[in-house]
Amino acid sequence: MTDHHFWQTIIDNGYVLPEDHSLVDLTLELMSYLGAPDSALRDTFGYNILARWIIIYGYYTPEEMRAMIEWLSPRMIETLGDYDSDTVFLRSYCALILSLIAYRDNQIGFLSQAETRTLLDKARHYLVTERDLRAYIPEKGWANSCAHTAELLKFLARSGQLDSADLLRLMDTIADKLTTDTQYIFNHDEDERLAQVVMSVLRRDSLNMFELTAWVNRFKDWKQGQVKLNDDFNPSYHAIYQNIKNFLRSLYCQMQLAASIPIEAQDFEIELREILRIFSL
Amino acid sequence: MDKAFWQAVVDADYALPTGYSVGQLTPELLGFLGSADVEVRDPFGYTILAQWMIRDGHYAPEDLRAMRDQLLLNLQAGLGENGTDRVFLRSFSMVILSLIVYRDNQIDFFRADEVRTLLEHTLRYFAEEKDLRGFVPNKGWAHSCAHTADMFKFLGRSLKTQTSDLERILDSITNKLTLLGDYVYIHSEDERLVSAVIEVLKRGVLSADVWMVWLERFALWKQITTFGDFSVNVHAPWLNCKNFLRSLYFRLTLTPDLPAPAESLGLKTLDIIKNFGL
Repeated sequence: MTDHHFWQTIIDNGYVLPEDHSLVDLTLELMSYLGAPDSALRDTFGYNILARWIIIYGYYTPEEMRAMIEWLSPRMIETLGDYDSDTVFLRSYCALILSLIAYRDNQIGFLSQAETRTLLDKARHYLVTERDLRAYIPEKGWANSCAHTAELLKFLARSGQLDSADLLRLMDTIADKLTTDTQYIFNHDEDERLAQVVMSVLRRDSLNMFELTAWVNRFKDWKQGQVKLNDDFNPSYHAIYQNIKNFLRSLYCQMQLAASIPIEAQDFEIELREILRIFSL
Repeated sequence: MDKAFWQAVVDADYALPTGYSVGQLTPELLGFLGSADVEVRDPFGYTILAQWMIRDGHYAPEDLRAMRDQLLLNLQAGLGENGTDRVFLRSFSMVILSLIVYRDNQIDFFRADEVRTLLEHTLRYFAEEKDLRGFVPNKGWAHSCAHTADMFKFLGRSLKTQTSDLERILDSITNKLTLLGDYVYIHSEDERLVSAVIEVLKRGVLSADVWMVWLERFALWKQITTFGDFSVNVHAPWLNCKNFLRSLYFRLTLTPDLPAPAESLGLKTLDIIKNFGL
């Protein structure tokens, strides 16, 4: 096991791969840190160094990145269902590193359509199935599974390998996630990150207004499908309501603040605004 | 305490039970406001008092004044504590006080100086209340922030508050939201505070300049606050401000017939939200 000093020296040297070391060996070691409850190993070293090597320095060949995907993808989902357990770190950070590879793919285009779709399906599965939604954990740092998965979906949404049917599935996954029964209220920017995924889809300009309207009406349907039995506070209803409300608001504000959005999305924005009425006092 | 007795009152649509006077029963109801029992504080204490005060008008001005005096004392009980059951008495005393002001807005019995004294107490309470829990599992609502927001709403609506009073309400909301701390409001406190702000706006007495300066404080807070490594004490006020500003923005743009500055305030709010985004 290489020591903290070794990795800190790499950071201090601008994240450059040290001479006389094997990229492959160091990468395997860094990836082994992704599940560490120690945030220095997981985040400061594992994530930060891999991020530079993948995105900034572009050290990896397509074959090496395929091997990384092979390593990361199963680990993102194999302990799914665990709750309130340190296993969330590995799942969530696998999603995060996969998002960097998806980002890299948008730079250099090495994934086939089939490979991209496989990754999308796994990311969708992971988003809706992950139950451990804790964001920042005292003493241990970020878990942030929802935000990390959103990053992965965002970069996948920009991939030219995905067509409008893929993008619709992606959008539906987000609606599935937000309307799934939970008592967890996101309050670490997950709403903004998920809205960014939708913004990436909107910028593709490949979904038409009818598809977008049908999608956003799923949230209205959820609201109208809730039968209020009495005035008792229902933590599950409240959490879902709050998550949807924050998400739709983030989306609306991001659209308002965007420099430009496609025409179809402009019509969709009017629909979104109407739905926001029922999520406002 | 006889739950069956009080449940019968609820079941009888809050009719005063035969053989009893309001004066006999009210002290016990006021006592319920501090109960940690979810079946007592809210459905009996709050709801029955509210029905008797607002719907049925059972209380004379001198009754309401006596009630006010007791409730103001209650606000001090354990003020500054966090996580204890005493928050229930403080918070529910505040919400009943807000109803007394609501009642004054209906029937006009307070002198202006009495309303402004209530404002003073409310401002102090809001600044000093540290227990911000909304819904407490197994014990029900505490919701001190939302209850104080309700008070601000009715004070904002009262014609006995003046321009400077309204400015102080707005400032105290900003003070509360920008206070460093670890509590993220998740039970619609943002919306309740916005309701108070909208009432102040509807008064139509604050100039557009005052509103702009007030909004600018949020931008300024964001600008001067250091966001380094994640710190919950910075994250929480940041998110509280952001959620409040978003609720404000949507209310300003979705509410019909607001006074003139509403439109420019909406634009300004959106502009500030930009600084609070990702």
